[in-house]
Amino acid sequence: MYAYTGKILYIDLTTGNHKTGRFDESFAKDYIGGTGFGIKMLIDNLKPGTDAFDPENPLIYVSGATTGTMVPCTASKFGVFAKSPATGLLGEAYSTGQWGAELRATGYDILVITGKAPKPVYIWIDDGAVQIRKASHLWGKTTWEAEDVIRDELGDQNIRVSGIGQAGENLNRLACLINDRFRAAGRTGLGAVMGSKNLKAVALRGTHDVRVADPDGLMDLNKDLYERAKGPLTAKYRTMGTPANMLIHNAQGALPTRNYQSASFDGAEKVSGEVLNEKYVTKIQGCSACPCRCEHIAKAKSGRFEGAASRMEYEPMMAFGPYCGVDDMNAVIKAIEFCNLYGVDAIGAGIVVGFAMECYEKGLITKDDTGGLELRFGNGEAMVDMVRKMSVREDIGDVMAEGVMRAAEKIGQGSEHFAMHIKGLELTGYDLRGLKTCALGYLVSRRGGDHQRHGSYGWDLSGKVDRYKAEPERGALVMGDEDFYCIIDSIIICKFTRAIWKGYDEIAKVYSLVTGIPMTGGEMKRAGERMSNLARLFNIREGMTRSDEKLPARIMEDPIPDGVAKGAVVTPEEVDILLDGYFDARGWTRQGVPTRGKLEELGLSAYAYIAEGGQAT
Amino acid sequence: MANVRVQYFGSIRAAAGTPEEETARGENATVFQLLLELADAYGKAFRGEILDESGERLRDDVTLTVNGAIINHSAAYEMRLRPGDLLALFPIFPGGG
Repeated sequence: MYAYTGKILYIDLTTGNHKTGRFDESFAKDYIGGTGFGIKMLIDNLKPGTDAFDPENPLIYVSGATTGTMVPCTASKFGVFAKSPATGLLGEAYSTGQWGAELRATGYDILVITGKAPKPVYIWIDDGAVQIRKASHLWGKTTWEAEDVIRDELGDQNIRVSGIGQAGENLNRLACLINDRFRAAGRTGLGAVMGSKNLKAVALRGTHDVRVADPDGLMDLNKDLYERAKGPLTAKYRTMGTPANMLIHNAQGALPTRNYQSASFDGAEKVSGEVLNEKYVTKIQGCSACPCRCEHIAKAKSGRFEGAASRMEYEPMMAFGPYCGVDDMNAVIKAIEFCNLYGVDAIGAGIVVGFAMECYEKGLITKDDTGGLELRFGNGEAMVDMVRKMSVREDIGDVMAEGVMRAAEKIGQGSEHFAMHIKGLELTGYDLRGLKTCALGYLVSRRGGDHQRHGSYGWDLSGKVDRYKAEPERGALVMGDEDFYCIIDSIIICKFTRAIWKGYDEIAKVYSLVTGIPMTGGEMKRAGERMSNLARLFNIREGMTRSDEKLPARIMEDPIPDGVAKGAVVTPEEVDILLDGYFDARGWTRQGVPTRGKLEELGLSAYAYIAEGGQAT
Repeated sequence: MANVRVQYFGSIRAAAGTPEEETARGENATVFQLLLELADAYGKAFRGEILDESGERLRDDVTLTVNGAIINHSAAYEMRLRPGDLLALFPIFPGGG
């Protein structure tokens, strides 16, 4: 097989030993890369019931099938997997930039890190050579500072580093992994898994070529893909990018505002993509081998936060803007910069701060708890300070570092009603009350409250379905989205360019040209379904049941108070309609458990014991 | 169809060069025919934002609302706007992050 190295690097930080494993063509064809590799490696390498902070929880880096090749908008991608400290279920996040291509150039497709170092360390992989190096001098440093020191001491400014800041060191359950300054494997708390291993970073330098099976055939198709990637289908990302969603969601009554107390924000214009582009964006840049170039880098212009810099996307802007009632773009930029520096999920962190603000306004926490912060909606300075406090677990930040689910359990007094999470993962920037297909996507998302495993808002927002109606048929729509996204995240294709691809058949064609492994569109689609089922089995094995698939009380009990979606809510009865429809579409039981027949159909018979409540034999 | 208001959002706004306008274009036309007239007026970039490669269909990732309510794309080929209606055009984006 081509492109794949076929090699897995296992590193045990407890012993300091490492070894190389191998995978074969059937593994590659069944699980593709990215998502598929991550789920398969995690379920096979984690003892059921292991705590997320147990040294034996493996932290797994995976490349995509076409990572490191010239296939546009896929070359730089990688995924990270572990049991999530946030959800106790599948932990999964993706990043881009340059690190992913470098991983493959070291000669490995998969990196599995287990154990716990007795003292802080970082891993240095220089082509095939592996070193575990002391990192006591890096502990307490930000992600950017640590990257600078690592590059300086290794004497190469082109070394690629994926690592944690203080949030990961402090086992903040929202901690993420930062690479290339502005890129994050952001969600599900994987930075805390790295921190729990006394591991600060993974640094890479690779010189191996990635050889493809049919260079001429790939070049022909690539020319077309490049043209499409530079064309009108992606123009919106190059110009304004996802921050355009601020005014779009605001106009559609879908913009989570003040911890979901509203679905539109009167200050949206001030923190919009339009204002961002006009006044704050200083540079637009791109990832490795990407003709799209969507990264909008912005700088704060004035006040206390002048000079702060961050890559800007809708989700973190929503989280630190409307969600916290803040209409000061300088504060939004600074809060996101802090997330990059301390290494914390910039979506989840904003949702946590919004939750803390509502707790403060309701008198559930006081200035004594916040260390003197007037933590009211709209106070941008307090918001920024809270990001730091969460990261270093100072004052109430220690409680908030646990995420809203656990923070609400500690604070009590009814705060559970407005703790906006699903399965322990904070919600993202779509008000689910008026987006019923999207609500189902979030409900069943394998990593919790999240839009990136399904993208099902598209059905609601395009008008292809009635956004306010819950009906069983939405199950098949979400299933189709999930399985396709599994493949997108296995190749790994940047989602901003997914529209340039002509479905499973074209993806399969590229896969075969790159790897030399024959693949049809139908086989590719089946692989996506296989991944969805295996992920479900992982979560079931870790204790998830249908009863965990529930929406926050506010989504089900507090109708949207104003705007075009006024009155919208998702009732418990609608949740049942949606879940039943989804499980039926999947061919699962109404309890959401894959059947033996389905697992046999997908080549997953070896895991049927999980569905049947037994033990591995 | 005089005095229909049209609002543009995101990259469609950038291509139109204006956030909003009142237009008498497309009198007695359907929503889609009005959009074709607007595409003629605003040129290639705008056309690319709202129409697919054929130039004869709406892009899948464009949302249309009339007076705040999302309308199915198929309705756009039939529906005629009334004076005072507000038509809004939105691109759909993955969330980012």
